[in-house]
Amino acid sequence: MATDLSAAGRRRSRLQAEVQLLAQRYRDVSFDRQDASWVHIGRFPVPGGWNRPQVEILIDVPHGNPGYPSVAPQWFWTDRDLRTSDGRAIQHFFTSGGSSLADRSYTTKGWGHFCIHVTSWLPSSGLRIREGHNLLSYLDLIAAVFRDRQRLAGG
Amino acid sequence: MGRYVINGEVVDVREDRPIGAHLKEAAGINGDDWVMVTMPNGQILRLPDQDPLPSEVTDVTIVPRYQYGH
Repeated sequence: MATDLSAAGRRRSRLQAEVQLLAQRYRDVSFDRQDASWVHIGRFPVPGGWNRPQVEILIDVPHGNPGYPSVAPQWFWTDRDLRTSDGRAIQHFFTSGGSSLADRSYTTKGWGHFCIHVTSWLPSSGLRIREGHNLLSYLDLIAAVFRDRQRLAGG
Repeated sequence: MGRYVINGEVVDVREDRPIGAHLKEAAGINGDDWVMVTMPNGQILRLPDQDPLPSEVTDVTIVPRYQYGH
């Protein structure tokens, strides 16, 4: 079978390799095998202080031109009914709205999103995935966000 | 020499009293990234490259630079 050298094909190959990396740390990892436009983590552990011990994570993979990995994921989606364990509202977490059709589609399907912007993203190319930023780096960032509960929930 | 859990993985650090830059080097992580440490009271702080790792931290995560949006 011929190698798909299109942008979507290259992104799909990259995601396939990255998902293998993610699966070494997280359980229940899957991705969009057709358009390479999302990665899903079924069981992402979160620290104490939230209303559940684990959440689902959906990463919207940039698939424009340029797309991932040149462009970092922006935002991430998680359980819409996420709360702190004492029921406080969460800053920078949204369960409605969104400017694009895709965003509205996700909120309609019951996802909420944290609005996080990566400001420095230096991916490596080709097979040297671990030498630069990758989805594991992004999930480390997500882990840091979940540890930042005091700031997000105001104390 | 010390052993730390960084980004969920055990990492050996040569220095007895490492600074932020030592942690990044030992973890093989991009020099531009931020070292985020969790304190016992739950507060999360960014550890500058030149600052020593507080002995009481409960977690170390090294992440791409980011900011919260609205």
